[in-house]
Amino acid sequence: MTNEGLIAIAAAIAVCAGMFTALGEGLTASKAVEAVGRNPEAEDKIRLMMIVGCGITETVAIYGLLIAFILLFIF
Amino acid sequence: MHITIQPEIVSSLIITAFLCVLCVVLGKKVEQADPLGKPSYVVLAVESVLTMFQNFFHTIFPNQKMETRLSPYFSMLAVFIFLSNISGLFCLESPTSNFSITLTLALITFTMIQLTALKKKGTFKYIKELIWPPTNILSALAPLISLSMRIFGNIVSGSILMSLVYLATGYLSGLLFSFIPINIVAPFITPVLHAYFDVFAGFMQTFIFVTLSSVYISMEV
Repeated sequence: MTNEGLIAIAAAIAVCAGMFTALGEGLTASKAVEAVGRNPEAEDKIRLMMIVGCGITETVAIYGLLIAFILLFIF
Repeated sequence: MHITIQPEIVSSLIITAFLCVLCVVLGKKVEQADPLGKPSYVVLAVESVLTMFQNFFHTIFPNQKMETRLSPYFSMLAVFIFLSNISGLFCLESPTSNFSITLTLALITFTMIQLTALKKKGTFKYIKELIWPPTNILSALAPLISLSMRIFGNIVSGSILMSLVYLATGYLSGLLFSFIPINIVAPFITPVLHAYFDVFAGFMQTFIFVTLSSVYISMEV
């Protein structure tokens, strides 16, 4: 008996990790825009920090994606 | 014996050969250029790209020695990843949509991080900080997974979405313009999506990969 439908549902639930990651990245970007508005000459440093912060925040979504891939292709 | 030659490996070899030839030719051109005269278009383009990379790495690396040692590698890495990401536009399979290749790129970064930490801390302290507390092993392995999966996931999801769009437009054109044998709806919809998924996302992923790897390495110093 195959459980393909259940596996597809599980993969979709795993990708839901991206939901709050999107929220967090939006917050990061909005704060960076505010910071550049207050202090325009620090733009380079702020951009670097924003990219690093976004990258580390994104890790959670990537783990969700990894689990979804494992569910879809290995099971 | 069964050997499978994956198309991504072939296209990565093609890109590498292209970059080698390009670098040799451009190097000859720059050597022959007159330093006091007016630069030609090619030399000017090479110089401005190089200056862009130098300015970018100057803001990341903490000291001059690391900058001179590591920035050539990261510049070449950025060029390679960007060409790989947009190679879907030139009828090649994108090498970064194969997990082996992104894992290789992330392994290079991982090795460099660990070697830098080993050099900085000394053998005994390095091993002690690696295994105690035990969660440090996980945090040492995290960059490997997150760096490789990030670029792989982005490029693969882009190409899957593009193939879905091509399927849908093919179905639509078969339904509406059944007297024309080719897919006629796609050229009106897909160029914008190609510009987003291939060029923009490819550029952003290159930027993020190079920035994160160099920041991870310079955090250990």
